[in-house]
Amino acid sequence: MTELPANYNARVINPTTRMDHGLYAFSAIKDRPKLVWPGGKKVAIAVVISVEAGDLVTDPMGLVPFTYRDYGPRVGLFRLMGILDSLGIKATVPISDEVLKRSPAVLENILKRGWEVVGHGAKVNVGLSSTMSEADEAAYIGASHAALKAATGKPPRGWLGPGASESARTTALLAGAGFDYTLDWGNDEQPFEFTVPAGKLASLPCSPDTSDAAVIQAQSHTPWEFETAIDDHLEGLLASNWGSVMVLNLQANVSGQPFRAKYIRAFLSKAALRKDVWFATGSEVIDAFRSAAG
Amino acid sequence: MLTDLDRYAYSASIDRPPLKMPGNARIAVFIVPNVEYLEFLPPPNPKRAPYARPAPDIASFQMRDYGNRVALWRLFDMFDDLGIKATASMNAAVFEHFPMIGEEMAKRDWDYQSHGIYNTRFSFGMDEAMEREQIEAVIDIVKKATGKKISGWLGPALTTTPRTPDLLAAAGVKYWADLFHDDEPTDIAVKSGRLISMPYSFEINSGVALGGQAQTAEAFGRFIKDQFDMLYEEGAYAPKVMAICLHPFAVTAPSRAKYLREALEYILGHSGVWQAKAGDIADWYLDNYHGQRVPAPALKAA
Repeated sequence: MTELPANYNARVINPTTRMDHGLYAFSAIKDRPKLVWPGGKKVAIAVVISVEAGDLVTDPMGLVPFTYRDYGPRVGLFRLMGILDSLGIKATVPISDEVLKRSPAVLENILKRGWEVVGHGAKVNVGLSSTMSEADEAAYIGASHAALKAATGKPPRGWLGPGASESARTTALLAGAGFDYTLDWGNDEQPFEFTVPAGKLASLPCSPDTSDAAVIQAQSHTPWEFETAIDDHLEGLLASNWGSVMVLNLQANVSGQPFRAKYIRAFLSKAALRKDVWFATGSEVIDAFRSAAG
Repeated sequence: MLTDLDRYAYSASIDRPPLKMPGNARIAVFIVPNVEYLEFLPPPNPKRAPYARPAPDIASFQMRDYGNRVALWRLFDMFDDLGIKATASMNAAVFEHFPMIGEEMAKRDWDYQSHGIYNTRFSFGMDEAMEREQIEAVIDIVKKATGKKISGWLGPALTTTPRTPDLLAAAGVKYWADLFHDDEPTDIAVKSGRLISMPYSFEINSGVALGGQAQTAEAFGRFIKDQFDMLYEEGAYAPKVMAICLHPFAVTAPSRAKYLREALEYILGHSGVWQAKAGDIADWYLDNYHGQRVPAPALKAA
């Protein structure tokens, strides 16, 4: 006898999406027309710098993660900002609601530069998951949308889930709250549209291979190994020439550390010289994708 | 509780006469892309949780999805360029979800080994009837999608039961790839029919080297070349079999593809390399060595 369900060998295929869910349709890259970015560029690079705050009370590690994160809105962001300013690159900034309250200079400096802010939840140590009720999840997403709208005077368009986590309902709730793109999905090299009941939601593809959380923190690679990986990533995208997106996904308190920032600068300095690369914010990439898709 | 496998005989590599390979090759190299599907909301298995986080665990889910949407197509292009004869290790459901993947493989006349139905449906905990149903379903799906019978079996997410080899032999599967004990095929004791193991690799394996070990792409490329160098050197007097076990979502991501390509070009640039499909290696071994080289022990009565 087995404890497994009787239909354990059965396949689960949604006939519309071809996936085992209805969130978006499968699409093989070879079946799509080539994407060409504004100015005929081959790769769009969005530099994403998360500025985060955690929760001192609920974090079992206490002061260490709290203050390590707080290096982002105090120091790390401004170091990276200096690098991007010198190269004329605008970033996209996922920002914890808590940072808006605690660190006013962050938003002020982002808006002054015409950078984009995207929702990142109340605090980075509270992620979305299937263990949350639908009402709680909707309230959590809605509060973040409202906080950014109140702080900037404009509704935010993008979302990066804290901890890059989602429930099965998240994409529908994001679109319902008024977000129109998400950075939670690294399953592609091009944007695509989610199937949502109301509103619109696109994916701004965020590869784990170009994320300091994955490469530096989870895989313990050195800053110079990370620089090689992101150089190689860009080179690989250009070689395939499908018209792709590279999200350089950084955390202000991680890549903004002095011993890492120089390698980020080295990558960006080289990439900024390329004629086939378009540096853009998240919204600019999504708008260009939608206008190309017609 | 199983305390000893009892399925193969002990044999020291130095006590065996040299294998004689087709064309007097020094090494047989088989190359295995694992084409997988992790489910968004997998059914529970009391013996193993599919994900570290509560499902949906989008961080894990999306990596395999990325493989099928994008990275596999970069791998097809690379393998076409290099003329690689590949052995796909298939979560068979991939063929039903995305028929174009089966069509592309069939066009290239790849070889197939099963990797179960989904990577989130484990053999652990299956009774005999359910495991037989799993094996038959996989054979049927792969046949329909590609026109070919699977030549071998790698358990879904490397899971097995004590009955797996008997059921594989009964279904006419030639080799079993879940064992890491040798650089050569080995006879496996089964209740009826014939079965050999195929030396799959635990570490020349992007799942382990780039996953758990978190090596860089450059290091993994070097692992492949170093493994080849040592076996090729030994192959001058004792030819061996080498597996290169790949996961497209990892190895043909933009930052890693060039290191894989460089390693494969390096190997193919040597003479005396039999770059074969696993099924062809199995046929050669079964025809020439089965029952003679390292015969399997008699199965103990259950």
